[in-house]
Amino acid sequence: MNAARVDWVVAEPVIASIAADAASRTPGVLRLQPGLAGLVGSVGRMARQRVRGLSSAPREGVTVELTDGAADIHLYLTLAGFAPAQQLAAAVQRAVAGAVHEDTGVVVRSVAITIIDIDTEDDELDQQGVR
Amino acid sequence: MAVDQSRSGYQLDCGRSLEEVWARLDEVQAGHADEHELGCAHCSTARGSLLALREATAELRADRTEPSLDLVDRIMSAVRANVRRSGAMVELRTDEPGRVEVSEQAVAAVLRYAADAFDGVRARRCRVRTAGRAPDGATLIDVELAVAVRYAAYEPAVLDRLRERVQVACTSRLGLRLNQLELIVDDIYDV
Repeated sequence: MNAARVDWVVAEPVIASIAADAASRTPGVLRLQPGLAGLVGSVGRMARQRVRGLSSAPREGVTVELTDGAADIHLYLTLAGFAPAQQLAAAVQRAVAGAVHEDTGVVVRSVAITIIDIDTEDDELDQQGVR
Repeated sequence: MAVDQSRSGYQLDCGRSLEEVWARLDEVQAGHADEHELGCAHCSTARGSLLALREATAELRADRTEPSLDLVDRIMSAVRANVRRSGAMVELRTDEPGRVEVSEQAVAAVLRYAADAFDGVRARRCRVRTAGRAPDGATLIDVELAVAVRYAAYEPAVLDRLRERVQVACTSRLGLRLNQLELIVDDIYDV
């Protein structure tokens, strides 16, 4: 018996969740930073999912555009003050591109990073003698 | 001489903190706005955002089946992020595909912090502007930094060392190149 042909498509929210996970695992990233629209969307989604008994992975602070089978990803981040921002941003770009491609097979065309905030009240600054 | 050393919360351009705007939402809604609140565009914009979010999240706050103790923090954080998103950005060089940028306010916070770490110096205002690109691709910035200096520590050598400190913070903490630094000593303290 011939196996049925299966086509599968990865939706943008899946890519966003994988990107969010990869970014937040990068040391020095304090959090993904949604704006007002992102937070309202996230709260609404949480409320709907609670009714249905679902709990999907967080993706606040990430936008994804899929065109011609490739993804353009944009992350909004708050970094810890001890982390060198430029190197950390590049590390996040690599981590996100690698994770999305590995987990979904989708080609990542670009990973843009906007550093919204850098937390200078982080305790590790004291430990490193920066303060 | 008094020196304002408060660094808590997020300050709007008018000088009021976002936390203050949040705390007075109900008062203003009830028609008890003070003179500043009646005429300030910054407070009005922040208040509009906070009210919209409070309304949007009312259902979740009222729901006791899931703790939402951090909801206010998340709202404040989102409003702060919106204020910063709407401001200018400084591009950081990267070899990876995709643009990297940092808000001018975040850059200013790091540089204020570096100055504050200096004994005898308290950072005040800090303004940052992009000033082009260095030959190696690094972004050049112009910085205007206002400080208060302890009277006993006030000497030109201190300002030279402070200049070095800011320059190092630009490069090592941010990956930016300092093009021009205007240091303004606008107060002294412990006279």
